[in-house]
Amino acid sequence: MLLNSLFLLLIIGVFGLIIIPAEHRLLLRQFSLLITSLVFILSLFLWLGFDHSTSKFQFVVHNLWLPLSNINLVLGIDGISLFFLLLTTLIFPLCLLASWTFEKSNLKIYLISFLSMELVLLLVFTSLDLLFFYIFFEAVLIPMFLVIGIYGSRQRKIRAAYMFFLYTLLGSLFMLIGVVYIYLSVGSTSYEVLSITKFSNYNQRWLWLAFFASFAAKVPMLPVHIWLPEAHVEAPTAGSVILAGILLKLGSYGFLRFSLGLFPQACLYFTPFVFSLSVLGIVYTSLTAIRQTDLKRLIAYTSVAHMNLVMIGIFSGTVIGVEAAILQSLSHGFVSSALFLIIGVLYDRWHTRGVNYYGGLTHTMPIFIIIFLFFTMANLGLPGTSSFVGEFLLLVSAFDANTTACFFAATSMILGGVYSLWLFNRIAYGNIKLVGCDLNYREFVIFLPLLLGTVFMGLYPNIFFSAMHASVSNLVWVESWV
Amino acid sequence: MKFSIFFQNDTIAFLPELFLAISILVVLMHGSFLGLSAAALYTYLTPSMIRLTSIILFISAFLVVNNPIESQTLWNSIFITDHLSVWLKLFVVLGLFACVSVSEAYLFSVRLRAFEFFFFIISICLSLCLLISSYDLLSIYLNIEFMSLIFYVLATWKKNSYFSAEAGLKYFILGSVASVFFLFGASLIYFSMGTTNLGSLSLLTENLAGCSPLFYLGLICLISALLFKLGSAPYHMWIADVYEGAPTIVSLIFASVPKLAIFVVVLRLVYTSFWCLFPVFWEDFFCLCGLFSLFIGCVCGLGETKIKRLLAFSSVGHVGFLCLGLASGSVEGIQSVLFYLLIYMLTAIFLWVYVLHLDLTSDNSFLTFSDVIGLVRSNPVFGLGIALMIFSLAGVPPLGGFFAKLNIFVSVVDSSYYLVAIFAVLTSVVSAFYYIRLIKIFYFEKAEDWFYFAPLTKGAAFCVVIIGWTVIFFMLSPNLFYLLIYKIAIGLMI
Repeated sequence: MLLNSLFLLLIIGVFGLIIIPAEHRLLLRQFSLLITSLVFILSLFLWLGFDHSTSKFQFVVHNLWLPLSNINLVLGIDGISLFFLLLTTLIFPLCLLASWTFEKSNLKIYLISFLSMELVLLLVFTSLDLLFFYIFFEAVLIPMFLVIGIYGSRQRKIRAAYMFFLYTLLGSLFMLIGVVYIYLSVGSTSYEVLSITKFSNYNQRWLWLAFFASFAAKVPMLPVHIWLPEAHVEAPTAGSVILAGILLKLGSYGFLRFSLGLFPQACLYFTPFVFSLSVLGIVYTSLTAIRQTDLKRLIAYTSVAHMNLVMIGIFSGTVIGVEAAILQSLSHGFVSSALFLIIGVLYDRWHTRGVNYYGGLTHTMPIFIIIFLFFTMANLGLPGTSSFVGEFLLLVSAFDANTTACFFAATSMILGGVYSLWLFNRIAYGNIKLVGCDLNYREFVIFLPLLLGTVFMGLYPNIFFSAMHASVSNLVWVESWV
Repeated sequence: MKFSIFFQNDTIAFLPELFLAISILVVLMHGSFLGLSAAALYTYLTPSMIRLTSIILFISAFLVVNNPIESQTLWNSIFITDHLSVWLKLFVVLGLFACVSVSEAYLFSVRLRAFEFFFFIISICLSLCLLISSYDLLSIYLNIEFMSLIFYVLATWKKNSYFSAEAGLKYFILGSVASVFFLFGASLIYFSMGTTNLGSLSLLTENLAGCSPLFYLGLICLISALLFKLGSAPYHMWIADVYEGAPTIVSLIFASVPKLAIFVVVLRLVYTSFWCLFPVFWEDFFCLCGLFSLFIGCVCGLGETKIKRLLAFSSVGHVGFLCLGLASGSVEGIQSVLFYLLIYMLTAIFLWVYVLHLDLTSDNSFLTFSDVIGLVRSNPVFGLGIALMIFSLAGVPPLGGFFAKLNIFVSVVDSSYYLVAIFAVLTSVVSAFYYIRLIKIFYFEKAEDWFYFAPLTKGAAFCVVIIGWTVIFFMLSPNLFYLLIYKIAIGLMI
């Protein structure tokens, strides 16, 4: 019931936005902020009422859809999806706050796209039916395409929108064939049925590859990662935050829930492949990030590096690895969103993203620089922030799985230091190049939850881990039961 | 020996067709007696004809659905009535109803000074209803000719346009050749089997040990003629020119309604009469045609900059998907084909209504990309609807077109055609590019000069809203559709 009420609130929100006429801009923004905040508060109750002792799905809701073909809309959460859900409901109000001073005329389409994106993302993370997971996985493309294309800042946004759409569509259509094959051979697409089905080794490998095509484009893994720098750079601030904070997690969530859950032997078989691609991704994108001169592109490349490290954790085959992967995804959601919001603050003032334009900001915007420093340190994995917990445990599990891969992945910490510190150095210190106002109240309020969350996860992560233990142990036990 | 004892059920089952035939005469009378002067044609004849035609179509829809006769053959087994024919006749009549309701403003603006247009629409309805009920190769041929002759005339309606004349002539010559091939194929089948009745053919071909090559030649000619009328590759050459040259209301009718009827004929031929030939002949044939159509649809659509031709090539691609669904040979195949046809008809009507609207607001007869730029500024809600329809054509969830493609993939994978499915996926992605290019032009580009703002006409708005709600919110309750189509498909297989 709680889950149904979340979706109902968002649907009411979308209808309300359609009804309110377009001239009342303040009313539109206040209404959407109200709806998303209410959704966030309701989702906290999901965490409160979550039972840590079982790996079964909780708050399950069955909605009949097509009983003729055994496909129904089953929604529920467990330890893996709970935190992705909370991350989503937290990030959206912050995005809407961040786009408060939006000057363009189509505010209504913007807000409707965001609310419908939140609805679809919540449905993705809670759906326990393979076909519906696929439907909502793909349905995110439509509003995101419109947001990047309409509200991007320069002409290159069209190319970015195309690349985002087509890369993801190609991978997902291969996944569709996999889903259809599973439906035809098992007779149902419900996760509860599929998780106890054993596929033959040969079938598992082909199905794993079909699912890999789709999730790899979302993570993004190395050969198909090019859409990410383009899309992040050209999207508006709030769009980049959603992309980095939540849409990237769709890939790793898909790997966790479906590739690990349904095809354990194929995961073992393909682990060296995934490790090679991930390690290459980490090293290559970290090195590329050092060279960038566009602020957003730099942070986008670091996002690729972090998510590839998460992939190593997922395929390590240990409970520590998978839990750390989930925590690192969460932490990356906080840190990366905060970094894009920081760049958004700079862009709101001076409308440029080139690094050479900024310098000596410490003297004129000290509070902003404190927050920027904190998140820079979080990006490189300073102990005390959540990202250290995630990276350290990921390296522990990678060491367990494959020491060479761990060695190369550990270079991510070093290279992370290089690009983060150099970026911060150039912007914060040095000669004063630009003079402007410090953070105002609204912007400070945006960063506050992210700051507190990062510190909280870094100092006492057990609160998050204890909710995950049951579900993750179940997942990994299935895998190593070979 | 009374007529009514022998043909009682047949007359009852044929009430819609009889009603349409009589109403053709009524319309002709009404038009010729009232249309005595050009002024009369503008002011009160066209609206009165539209209302009359709408009422006729509505009543015939009623008659079609309330058919008390269960599945049986009629009129000495040249016609049949079963679930397939009843429901598809209903969809055809509804499609034509939509076409009529959007035609008013178009006819006024283009100054189509003839009431015969409505006479032709009712004749199309009659011919398609007869075609859907046909159960004999000869009756199929006669009804296809009836339908095609009307279309040849309609394609050349615009008297002051070279394109229209070219379109009509091309369609006439190529279409006549195709019909001749159909007749030749039918005669070869009669030569080898001794009957032209579809039911008898299915009984005769049940335990066929080996067939003469003339039989295969006959089948190939037969099916090629039908695929020509649909516009599937390798017989797709006429589609782009005809859709572009014909007046837009006629292209709307072309794109939406005949495909349903001809696919019914193809379904009956492939699944009822010659079903046992599936592993030998049909799978390879339809797979090849389907893959080729998909390829042509996606490659040629990439290069097009004129809207009507773009929609024509996209329809070639969709016919490719339908052929792939036919190639599977199972109940899922029939279900997927019928479902896809329905969703495709709705989406095509929506998009062609938009092209009609553009035609009213642009000054020349070509509709290129530069004409569609101002859509989001002038009609924002309509623009959003168009964008969602185009996403539905591209097959993006959660819209109706995705479910259509999903069903086709289910039937293809069920028959283990994995490479075919992968190829279909690749062409889907490539064709998705030119669909989202259209959306890009609507939304992301700035118009350099002033654009014309016009609200949608009442009839167009009516159709657009109903179709939009059906396709966009299809996901909320698909049960009705799926059960209906299952009932129809099972009726065909038995």
